[in-house]
Amino acid sequence: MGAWWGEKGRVGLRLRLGVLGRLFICFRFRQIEQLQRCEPISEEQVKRLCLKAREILIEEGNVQVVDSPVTICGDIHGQFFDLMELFRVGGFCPETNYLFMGDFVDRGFYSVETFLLLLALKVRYPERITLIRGNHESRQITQVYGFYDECQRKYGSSNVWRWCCEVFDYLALGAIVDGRVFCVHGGLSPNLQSIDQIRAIDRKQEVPHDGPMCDLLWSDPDDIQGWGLSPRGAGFLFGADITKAFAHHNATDLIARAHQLAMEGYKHMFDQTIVTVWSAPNYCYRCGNVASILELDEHLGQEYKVFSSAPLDVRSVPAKRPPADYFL
Amino acid sequence: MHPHQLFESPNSREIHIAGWVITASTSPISNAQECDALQAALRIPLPEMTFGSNFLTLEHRPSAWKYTFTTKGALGAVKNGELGPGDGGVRVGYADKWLQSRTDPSSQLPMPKTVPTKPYDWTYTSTYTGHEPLSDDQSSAPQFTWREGDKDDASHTIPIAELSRPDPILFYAEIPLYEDELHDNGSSSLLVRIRVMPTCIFILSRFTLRVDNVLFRTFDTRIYHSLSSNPPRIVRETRGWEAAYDRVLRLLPKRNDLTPLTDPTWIGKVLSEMPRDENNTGWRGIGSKIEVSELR
Amino acid sequence: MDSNFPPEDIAPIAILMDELKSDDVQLRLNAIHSIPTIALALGPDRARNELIPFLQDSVDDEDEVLLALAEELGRNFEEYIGGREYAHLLLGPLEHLSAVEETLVRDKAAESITKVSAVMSQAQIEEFYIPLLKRLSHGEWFTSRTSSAALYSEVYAKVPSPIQDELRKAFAALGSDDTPMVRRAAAKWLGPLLKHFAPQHISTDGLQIYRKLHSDDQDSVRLLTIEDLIAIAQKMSPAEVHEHLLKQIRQSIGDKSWRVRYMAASHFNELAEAVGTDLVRDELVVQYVQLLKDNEAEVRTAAASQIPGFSKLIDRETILSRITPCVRDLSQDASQHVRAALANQINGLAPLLGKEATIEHLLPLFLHLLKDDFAEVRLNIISKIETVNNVIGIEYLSESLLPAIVELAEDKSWRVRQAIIEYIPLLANQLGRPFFDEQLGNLCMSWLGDTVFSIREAATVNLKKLTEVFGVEWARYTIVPRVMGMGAHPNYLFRMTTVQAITTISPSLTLEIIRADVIRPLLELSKDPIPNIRFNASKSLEVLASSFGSSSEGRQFIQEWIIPTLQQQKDDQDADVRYFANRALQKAISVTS
Repeated sequence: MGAWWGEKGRVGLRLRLGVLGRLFICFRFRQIEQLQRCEPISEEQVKRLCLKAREILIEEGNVQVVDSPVTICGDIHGQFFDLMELFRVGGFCPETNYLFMGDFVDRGFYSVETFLLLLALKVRYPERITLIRGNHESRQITQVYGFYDECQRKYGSSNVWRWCCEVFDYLALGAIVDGRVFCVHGGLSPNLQSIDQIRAIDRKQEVPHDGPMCDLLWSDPDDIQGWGLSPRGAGFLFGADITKAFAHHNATDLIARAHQLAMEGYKHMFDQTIVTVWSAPNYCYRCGNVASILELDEHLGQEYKVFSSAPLDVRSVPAKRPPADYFL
Repeated sequence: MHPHQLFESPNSREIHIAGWVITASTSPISNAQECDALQAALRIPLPEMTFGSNFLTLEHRPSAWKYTFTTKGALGAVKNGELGPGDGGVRVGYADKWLQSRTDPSSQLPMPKTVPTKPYDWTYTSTYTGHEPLSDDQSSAPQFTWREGDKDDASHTIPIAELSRPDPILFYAEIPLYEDELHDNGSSSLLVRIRVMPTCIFILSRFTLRVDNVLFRTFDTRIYHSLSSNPPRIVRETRGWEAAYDRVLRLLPKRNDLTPLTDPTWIGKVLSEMPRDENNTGWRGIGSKIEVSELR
Repeated sequence: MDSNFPPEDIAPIAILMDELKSDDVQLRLNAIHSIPTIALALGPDRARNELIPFLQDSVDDEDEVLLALAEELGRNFEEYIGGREYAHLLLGPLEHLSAVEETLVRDKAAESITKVSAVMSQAQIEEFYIPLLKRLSHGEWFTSRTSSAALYSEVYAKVPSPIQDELRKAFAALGSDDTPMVRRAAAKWLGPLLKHFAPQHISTDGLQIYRKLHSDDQDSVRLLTIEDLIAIAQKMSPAEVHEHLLKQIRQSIGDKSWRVRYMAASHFNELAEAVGTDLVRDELVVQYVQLLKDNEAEVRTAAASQIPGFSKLIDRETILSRITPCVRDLSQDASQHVRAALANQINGLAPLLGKEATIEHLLPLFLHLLKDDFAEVRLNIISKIETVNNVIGIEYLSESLLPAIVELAEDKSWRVRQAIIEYIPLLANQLGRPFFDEQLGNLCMSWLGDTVFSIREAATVNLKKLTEVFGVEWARYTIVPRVMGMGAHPNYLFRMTTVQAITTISPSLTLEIIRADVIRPLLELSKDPIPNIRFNASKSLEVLASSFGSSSEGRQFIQEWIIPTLQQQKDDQDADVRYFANRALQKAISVTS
C-alpha cells in the first residue's frame, strides 16, 4: 500500500485528534512499533469522560429530538479508521451534524478508540452529535463479541469496559429528525404504536431479553404482512403494513435503521418507507462491502454517500491473501 | 516432481498440475441483485455474509471427472421447511424465557397476532460434501461412483503423516462460502481450504456452528488425492460432531478469555477429541464415513 | 512515581506478596509496576537481599504480569539495588523469565538482559553474563535456547578472544539445534552477531553457521537467512563474495518456497549494494529478472518495489535491454497488487533513462496504467508524476496526459480526484493562465460542489494556491464571483462551502476585494438559519480579523464590520455559535486595541 496517503492520513488523524486533545481525548504514541496505531487515553481520563457523558445523556429523552441538517450513520463496529474515512467523506464534527444509530463497538479492532472518540465529541458538541443505542451497547453482547476483551487487553482491567457500559445505559433509544424521520437501531415493536409510548420506557438499564426496549434494538423488517416470530425462537419481524401504519400514526415519512449488513451500504424496503443504513465498509475486514451515510439536508432531502474502507486500515488487518497453512 | 503452472486474475487463482485444473475463486459478498436471485432459487433467507460467487472446482482432464464446492450447493443442503427428527434443530438460548414473557397469563406484554414466518434451519447447518456438477451432455458423461472405503486398505485413508510433512505448498486457497452471526446469537460458517502439494491434493471443507449457551457443531469433509495413485483415486472422509456449549466452555485454556470460541480450528480440535455426548440433538451429521472413487 | 507504599511502618515485601496473591490481575500488575517504589522503600541492601530473591523465586503468574516484571527489571533497576556493581543480580529473575513459554515475555526478558549487560563491567560480564548465556544455550527446553540467540551480539565484542571462540561455537550449536524455533532464532540473530566478527571469523565460523541455516529444510528458517547473507556480504570483498556466496545467492533467489524468494526480492537492493558492481552486472541482473517474472504475485510485487533502487546500480543500456521489457510485462500483470507496486515505483526510472527514452518507453505505460481498473494503480501514478515532469518537461506531459487528467478529475474514487487536485497548482504554473482557464478552469470550480467533503476542502485549498499562482486580480474576476454565488444556494452544503472557501482564500486576497465582494454575503451567512453555517461564519470573521488587522484601514474595517456582527452572534441561541463568536470577538478586539 502506498505510504503516500497512509502517512498523510496519519498526520491528518493526529491533527484532528489534536484539536480534541484539548478536550478529553489525546492519542499518545508510546513506542516506535506503536506509532503504527493510535493509543487509547488513560483510564482516569476515560472515567472523567464517561461521567461527563452521563450527565449530558441523562438529560436527553428516550427519543431525542434532532434538527436537520443531519447526517445519519449506521453500524461502525470498532472500525476506527473507517470512521475517520466516514468523516473525510461526510465532513468532520462540528461542521457536520451527526446521528449515529448504535453498534459503535465489537467485532472491529478499535472499539475503545471508536466509542471514546464519539463520546468525546458528544461531550464537547452535545448539539452537533446524537448517539443512540444499538444492541451491541450491552454488557452481555460486548462480553462475547470483542469490546470486553479489547478493554482488558488495552487497559489490563475491566474498569473501562464497566464505565462504558454504564454510559450505554443512558443512551437514547431513538431519535426523530424535524418530526418526520424516525431513527432507531433495529426496528419496531408490537407494543409500541406511537413514538410517545417509547418516551414512557425506563431506558436506564441493561438491554433486556424481551419487551419493547429489546424489540427496538433487535427487530428486523421482513417481506411479510403483519408481525412474525423469528425462526430463532425469540424476536420479531415486521412487514410493510406495520411500517406504513407506524408512519401514518406518527406522521413520519421515513424510518431509518441500521443493524443489518447491506452490500450496497444502504437498502430501501416497503416503497422507501424504511431504509437500512450500514456504515462499516469491508465489514469484519473481509466482506468487501461498501458503506454509506445518509445526508438529510435542511429540507429533509435525502442523499446517500457511499464509501469504501480506509486504505490506512489495510496494514492493521490480515493480509489480502491468507498465508498458506498446513491444515489437516 | 510434477511440473505445474499457476494463473491468477483479480478474483481467482488456478493451478495446472498432473492433468488437473484446479480453480479457486473468491469475491466480495453478493450484492443485492445476486442475493435476490440466489434467494429465489433456494427459497430461504440467505446468511448475512453470502459469498455467492465463490467456488472451488477440480477438473481431472484425463478422466473428465469434475468436482466442485459452491455456495449455492452448500446452502442447498440447509433444511428448508419445518425441522424434524435428524435435522438437529435448535433455538436461541433465551427462547423459552422470551416466549414465556409473552405467553404467561400474567404477562404485561401479550403476544401480538402473528403470521407464520418461513420455517427453515436458521443455523444454516449443512452436511454438504461438495458435488459433481451436471455436465451439459448427460449421456456422454462418464459415470463415477463413490464406494465405501476399506478400513484395512491403507490407500483408503487420509495419510496424516504425508500431510504433516513440511513439503512446499504449491497452491493454497481459502474459499469462504457463507457466514452468519445468527443475529448475535453465535456464528455459523462454511470455509473450504485447499492445498496442492508436490505429491498430493488436499481439501478441507469445514462447517462450524456456535449457538451461544446452547451448542457447538462441526461438519468436516476432507478430500485427498495422491498424485501418484494409479488408477487415480479420490478419498473422501466426512465427520460430524456436536457438543453442549457448557462442555466446550470448560475446556477453555483461560477461563475469562472467550476468544477461542470464535476460532473454528480450535473448536474443530476440541470437538474431535471429546467423548461423544449422548445427550445430543439427534442431528444426522454426527459420525464419520470414508468413501473412495476411482477415476478410470 | 506515586507510591502506595509509605516507607514507614510497613513490611513492603509482605504487602507486595499480598498484592501478588490477589485474584484481580490488575492489582497484581500494579504491584509489579510498583517494585521500584518498594525497592526505594527497602533501601539498596534489603532490595538486594530480600526483594530480588523474592522476585526470582516467588513470581509465577499470568504472562501479562511476567511481561511487566521483565520490563521493570530492564528499566535501570540496578539503581535501586546499589548501582551497576550489583547489576548482575538482576540476571537471576530475568534468566527465569527468559525460559517461560510465552514468546512476548521471553523477548522482553532478553531485551532487558541486554540492557543490563550495557551497564555491567567486563569482569561482571565474564563472571555472570557468560555463564548465564551458556546455561540458556544448553537449556533443556527449547524456550531458553531460543532466548539465548538474542543475547550474543550485545556482548561479543566486549569479551576476550578465548571467550569469543566459545561463543561462536555455542552459537553454531544453536544453528544446528533440533528444534526449528531455535534455528529460526539463530537465523534471526546471526546478522547482528556477524557485525562484530573479525574478518577471519566471517569466512570460517560465520560462513559455516550461515550455510547450515541457509540449507535448512524449513523455509521459515531459510527466509530469515537473507538478512544474514547481506550481513556477511557487507563484511566481505567482492572477490570473496564471488567465491563463497554465489551459490547461496542463486539458491535463495531460486528457492522452491515462495516465501524465501519473497524475502530475497524485498531485500534485493540491500543485497545488490552489498555484493559490489561486478557481481550485480554479471549475476544479479539475471536473478532479478527471474524474480520480476516469478510465478507468485507476492514475489513479483516485492521485486517491483525494488525497480528504481536496483536500476541505479546498473548502466542505462542494461536498464533498457533487461529491465524495461519486464516493466512492460508487469504493467499488464494479472495481479492488481503487482500493478499497484509497479505504478508506485515506475516513475523512479525516468531520471535514470532521461528524456528521450522516458518518452519512448515509459510514457505509453503511464497512459496505460492511468486507465487501470484498480484505483490504487491510477492513484500511484498520478501522485508521483512530478518526478516524470522534471525529466520530460511539462509541455510533453500535459500534451499527452492532459486528456487522461481531465478524465481522472471525475474518477469515481475520491482519492484519485484528490490526487489530481493536488497536482493542479503545478500544472497551472506550467500551462499559463489562458490555457489553464480554457482547459481546467471549470473543473476547479466544479470540485467545490463535489459530494465528498474532503474534495470540497481540497478544492478550496486549490483555489487559494491558484490565487497565489495567477494573482489576486485573476482571483477577483474568476474565483470570487463563483464562490460567493454559491452562498445563496438553497442547500446548506453549498453555503457551507462558500463560508469555508472564504476562510481559506481570504488571507490571499486584498482588503479592497473583501470589502467590495466578500463581506456583505458573509454577513448574510452569519445570520443563516443553520447554526453550523453561522459558527463557520464566525470562524471566517476571525480569520479576516487576524489577516487584515495590521493596517489602520484594516482595523477600521474590523471595527465597522466584523466586531458588530460578532457582538450579535455572541448572544446566539446556539451554544456552538456563541463559543466561536466569542473566540473570534476576542481576536478582533485584540488586533484593534
